[in-house]
Amino acid sequence: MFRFFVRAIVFIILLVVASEIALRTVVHASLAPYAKQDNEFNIMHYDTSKTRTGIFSVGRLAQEQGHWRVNNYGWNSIFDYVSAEKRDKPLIAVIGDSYTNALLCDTDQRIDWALKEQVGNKYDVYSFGYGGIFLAGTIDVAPYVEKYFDPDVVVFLITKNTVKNSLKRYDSSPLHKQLRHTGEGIEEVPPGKYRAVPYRRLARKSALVRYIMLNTYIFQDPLDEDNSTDSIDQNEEKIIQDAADYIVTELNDKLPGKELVFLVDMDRVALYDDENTRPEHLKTSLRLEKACQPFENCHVLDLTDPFYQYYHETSKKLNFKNDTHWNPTAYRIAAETIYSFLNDRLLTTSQE
Amino acid sequence: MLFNSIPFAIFLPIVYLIYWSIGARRFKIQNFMLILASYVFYGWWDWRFLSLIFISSLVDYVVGGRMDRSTNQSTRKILLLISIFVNLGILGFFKYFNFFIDSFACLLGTFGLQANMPTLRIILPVGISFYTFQTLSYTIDIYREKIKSTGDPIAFFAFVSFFPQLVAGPIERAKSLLPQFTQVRQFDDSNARDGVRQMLWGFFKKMVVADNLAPHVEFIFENYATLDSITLFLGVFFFALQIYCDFSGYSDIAIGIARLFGFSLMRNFAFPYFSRDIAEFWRRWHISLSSWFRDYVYIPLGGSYVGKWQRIRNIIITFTVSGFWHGANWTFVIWGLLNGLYYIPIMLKEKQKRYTDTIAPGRLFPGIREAGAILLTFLLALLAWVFFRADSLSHAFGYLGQFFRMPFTGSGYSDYLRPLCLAIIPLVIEWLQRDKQHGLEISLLPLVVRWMIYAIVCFGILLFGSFGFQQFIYFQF
Repeated sequence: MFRFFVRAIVFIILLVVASEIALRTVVHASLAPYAKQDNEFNIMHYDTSKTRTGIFSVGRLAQEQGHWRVNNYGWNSIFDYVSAEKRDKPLIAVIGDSYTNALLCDTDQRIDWALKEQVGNKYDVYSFGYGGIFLAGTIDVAPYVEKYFDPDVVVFLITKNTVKNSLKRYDSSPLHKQLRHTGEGIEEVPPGKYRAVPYRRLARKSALVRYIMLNTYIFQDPLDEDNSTDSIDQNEEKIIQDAADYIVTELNDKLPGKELVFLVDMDRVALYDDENTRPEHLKTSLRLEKACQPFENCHVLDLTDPFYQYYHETSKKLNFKNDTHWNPTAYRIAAETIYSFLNDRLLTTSQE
Repeated sequence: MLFNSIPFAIFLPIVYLIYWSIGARRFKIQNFMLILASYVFYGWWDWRFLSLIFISSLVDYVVGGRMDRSTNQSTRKILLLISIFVNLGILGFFKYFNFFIDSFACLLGTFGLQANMPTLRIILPVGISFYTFQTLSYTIDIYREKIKSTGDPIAFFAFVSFFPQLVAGPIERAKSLLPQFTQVRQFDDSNARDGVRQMLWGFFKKMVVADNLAPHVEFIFENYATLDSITLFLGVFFFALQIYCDFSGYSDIAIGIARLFGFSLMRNFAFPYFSRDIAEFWRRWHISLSSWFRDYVYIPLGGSYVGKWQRIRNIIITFTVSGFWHGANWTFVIWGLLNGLYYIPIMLKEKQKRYTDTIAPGRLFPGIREAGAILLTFLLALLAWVFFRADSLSHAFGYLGQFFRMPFTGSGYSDYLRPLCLAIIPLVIEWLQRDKQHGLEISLLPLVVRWMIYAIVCFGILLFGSFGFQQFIYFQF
């Protein structure tokens, strides 16, 4: 029995060593940047004192890969950010969740780069994305962006159900601000404290562990999207609308005098199923439009038409094969949409 | 608990270490520990159904003991009937209650009678058909005086609930497995090593081949109405490999685990897709169930020692019941019936034991005649698999209708290139290993070569395996 165990252990050790080498050199096991919480604003971004570049991947054989880069302010971006005092150009800031963060896209394929290509030297474009944040969480990101970068235009990249899920009763986002309805009105639920778990930090040093945990979908299917049809009664709808109103008002307060653009993703499941008429996917847009009505500086852009048009012309999907997040084409279309709007409404005015 | 799951990856080494640290001489304590482990293993799905295993074990232990002690034939018969009634009663209720109610209501409907028959929301306990048949064989064999009852309840309960084969077989006979629980089990180094190899091969077949073929099979069977004949052929070809790799993979893992614990389970698959006729196929496919039906249904009906028409009847009954065992759906019945019909001409010519040797021994390729026979048998099996996989008879006939209606042309086959390669891998490997017990029986190769092969298989599982922990197909039976 002793010989059997010794052989088994020796084989396992050799296999682990070979796996570590192979998963670092041939197949890139997924590696995400180290997280850090900003104590002043209670927001999550990345730790600039740790690894600053890496490859994030999904799927077996790391089928989809993106190179990330943590910049000087701890955000995934190709650009190093310059503070408001030192910057010589007006700024477009893009705030959002994992779609803004876009770890699966190379840094020159993301929304900031794509938009920068559109606006050229007229504007700088900075992005502030972190996975798992709902729209309510941007209430905390907004003052951070305002304090350090003083943007001229702020684009909120909105994904489906982010307004609804901002309410704690529908979903949980422990590290980001959420809202609750008290019966009398909307109340903020502050984010929890982020604590790096030592054994997790240790485990992530192993490419084999990362591959098993992140690339093999051992815990979840990345194509499992929130496909709920959002069918809720009128009372609930009022609560969600109250939340949308609250968030938009708060963002206006935190970003005084700034142009706010809410860019709403379309329901791509409906798009691929050719159910463009399904009303649910428009609900987020409608809620935000209603919330923006009192504010002249608030605008809602819906990606339904450009995405629909692209998909029906090319039959090519706008997300990765093994992941529901946008692919570089979607970012390019989104950037074109933003630019077209800004060019018509804002940039010309600003230049004039 | 699934073999291909994280809880099992933790469970197995713990149980294994405790088991051998108890010491081989204290095998009764080992047995008790195995019962506990097996109940944890099974209770992981739904602890409530542990009561069914317990009841089944208790009834058969008591009935077996009484039957053995009784010399009165009618008492023995009554005791046997009690065992059959309890076991098949549990099985019938959980597995077939709604089927019979629905079928009866449907029958009334054909006569224009409306019947609001009550159906129940019954959850099918995992593996119920397997352990029920295993424990039934014990009382039937005692009744037939082929074995003696055991006086060791711990050994008997461990025999019924032995976790490697509890939920999907092999369906063991008391005659071969029960004595292993009543004697010292020594650790055998070479047996344990080959057990691990067999497990590894089983995991490869399940996680790399079966689970990767599953979405393609599902897509093709769901969208058959819009697909061309080649795609439909690929669909059933993939399913044939999916179900084989899924089920034989499970059996390989189960047998391998049992070997680690010093037990020997019966072989359940012997490379069935290389069979040269259907009779050989059924000696190679799900051997433990086929032999169960042979011993407890076919032979009691008279087997082959009766007239021609009775033999035909016996074959039809045996195969149909075998199909019905798989599930409460007419598709399984037709699948069984179809296999029975394939079997009849061979049986009538008394050529059912024509092929009992290894295929193409000592040669790399089979002869043209052998290859033709293998291909024909495989195509017949594919036709039957359509019924097995379909959700309903109309689905199966729709699939076949579309297959014969659509031309053999189409495009977009590149999507199927990868699953096709995956499907062919186990066929090639097992063809090369067809005179062995399993695909990874490579003990005669030099150590370095063996380890390289293990590493390749491990990497294959890591890089291409599905870690979605999909349930084994045969759990539903």
